[in-house]
Amino acid sequence: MPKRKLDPLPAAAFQILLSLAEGDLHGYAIMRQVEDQSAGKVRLGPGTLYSSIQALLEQGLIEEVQRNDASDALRTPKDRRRLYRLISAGRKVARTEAEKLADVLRVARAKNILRGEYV
Amino acid sequence: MIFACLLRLYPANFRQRYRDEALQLLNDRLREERGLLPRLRLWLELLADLAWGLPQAYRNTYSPTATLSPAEKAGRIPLFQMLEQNRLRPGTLLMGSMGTLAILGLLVFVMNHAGPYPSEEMGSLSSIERVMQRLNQPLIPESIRASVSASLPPSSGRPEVSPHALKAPSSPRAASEAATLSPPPAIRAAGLALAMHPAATDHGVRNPNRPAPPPIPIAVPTGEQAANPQAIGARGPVRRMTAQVGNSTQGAPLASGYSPTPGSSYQLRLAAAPPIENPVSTVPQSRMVEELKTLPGNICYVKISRFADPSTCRGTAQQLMDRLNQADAIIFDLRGCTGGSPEMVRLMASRLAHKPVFVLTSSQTFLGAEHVAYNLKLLNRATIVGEATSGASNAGEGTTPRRIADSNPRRVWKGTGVNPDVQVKAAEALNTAEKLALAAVHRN
Repeated sequence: MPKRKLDPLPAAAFQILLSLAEGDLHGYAIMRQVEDQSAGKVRLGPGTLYSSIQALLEQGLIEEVQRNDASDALRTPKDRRRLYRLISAGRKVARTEAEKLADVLRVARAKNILRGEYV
Repeated sequence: MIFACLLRLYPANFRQRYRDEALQLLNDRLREERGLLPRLRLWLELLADLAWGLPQAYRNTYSPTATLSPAEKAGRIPLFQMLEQNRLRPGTLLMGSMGTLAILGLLVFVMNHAGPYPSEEMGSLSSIERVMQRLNQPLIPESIRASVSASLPPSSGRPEVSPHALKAPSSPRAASEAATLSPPPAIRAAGLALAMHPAATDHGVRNPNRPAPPPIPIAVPTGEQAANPQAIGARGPVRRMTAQVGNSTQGAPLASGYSPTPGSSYQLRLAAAPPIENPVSTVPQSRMVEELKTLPGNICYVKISRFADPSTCRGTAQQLMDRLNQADAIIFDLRGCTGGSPEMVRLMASRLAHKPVFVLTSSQTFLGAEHVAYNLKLLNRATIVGEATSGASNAGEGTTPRRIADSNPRRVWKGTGVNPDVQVKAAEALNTAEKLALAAVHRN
């Protein structure tokens, strides 16, 4: 059984899982998607991004998708960027993490920590 | 350039795998984020990224991961990881232990609730209880031993079995069950008496040196079977009761025979026969040949009680062989023979040459002696004179020659016995055989 390096799930890894929920993305697109979905509050640097991607790959939460429409020699550097895909295990981990946050959110709302604009 | 130097702080595997992509990502950001403040913010983020990303990069193992092409997605196979690379967590061990206990509990539950066995004392027994009962059961229970001892007449030691205990089963299936399951108490008592007989056992170990115990008379209800003696021996009470008593004697070799008595009943004779499979028979030669004499016409008459092992009586056996060689005809009297060593049978058969041979049989001819009679009859090597043999059920394999052996010769005479060529009463067999032998000698 692999080590549980992502337990608890780091924020960067959670954001990457969420960014891949709608489709396959490469590293730069993931960074931009994370920036968009966090309203510019989270901007992943290359070290954090690729080390988190590697951890997610090793944990079997995402997988790398190799494009076979052209040979590597004919591709531009941009085309050679790897695509990553969220798989069912990763989706389950992301859902579990989201539910945890939802529980925390309900507690915070019950204790009047949050104001009305939060759902 | 500066970022390329910073990347050297990362593990070699990380740089080998992600260096180009990381540089490409930084170039894209540099191209998009122009101006002083955006650039300053970018470099501050890179320093923070170094602080957060570097530990994570060193925690990764960079083991090869599967890269799937779209074509490979359809035929995807499971991945297996080497277990020794990762330590087992306590939770895993706990789950494994609980799973094992659950499977064991399920097995015990199934064994306790599947296939109850009937029990006289406790109603029905589970499989485990049945096995435990069998393991804890003594060879002969003390209670039954005491009741049998009390029921035996002190003078003869022969228990009489009442006819109602020998009631025939109502169906073939019931007959089979009666022969394989526990016998009626009276039959069981007879079998235990046989097994406990001091002549048959010696402190629980069967001793072939002891003489066979006297037969136990049992009255057989005849009914319509009285007119068909063959049915009594082959399929009727004799075979059934022999099997039932055999169940009670802990598998001891058992011989049986029957004979009509005045009136309408039969007498079933049961005896604990010594095992003939014993490779080292210690039957003394003096008991092997009860009588050896030469009859008029140079006919050698040999009355054999049991075939001893030749290795234990080489001198006497050779003397017997010499007498057989010198004779013009041979009469083997097996009317009271209870079997014995197959080696002795082979040795004697080799000395028969082409002389006329007559074998006397009776209902007291048991086991290996029946085999001898059966073989010689099939080989047309001897004339069987007398009565049908006992058809004892616990016979050994014997010495049937290959060229005459069918798949299982015991199937032929087991239960029915070997029928004689000349059927006369046992008491008259010798006179008849002597006349036949004289006639044969004169012909030759």
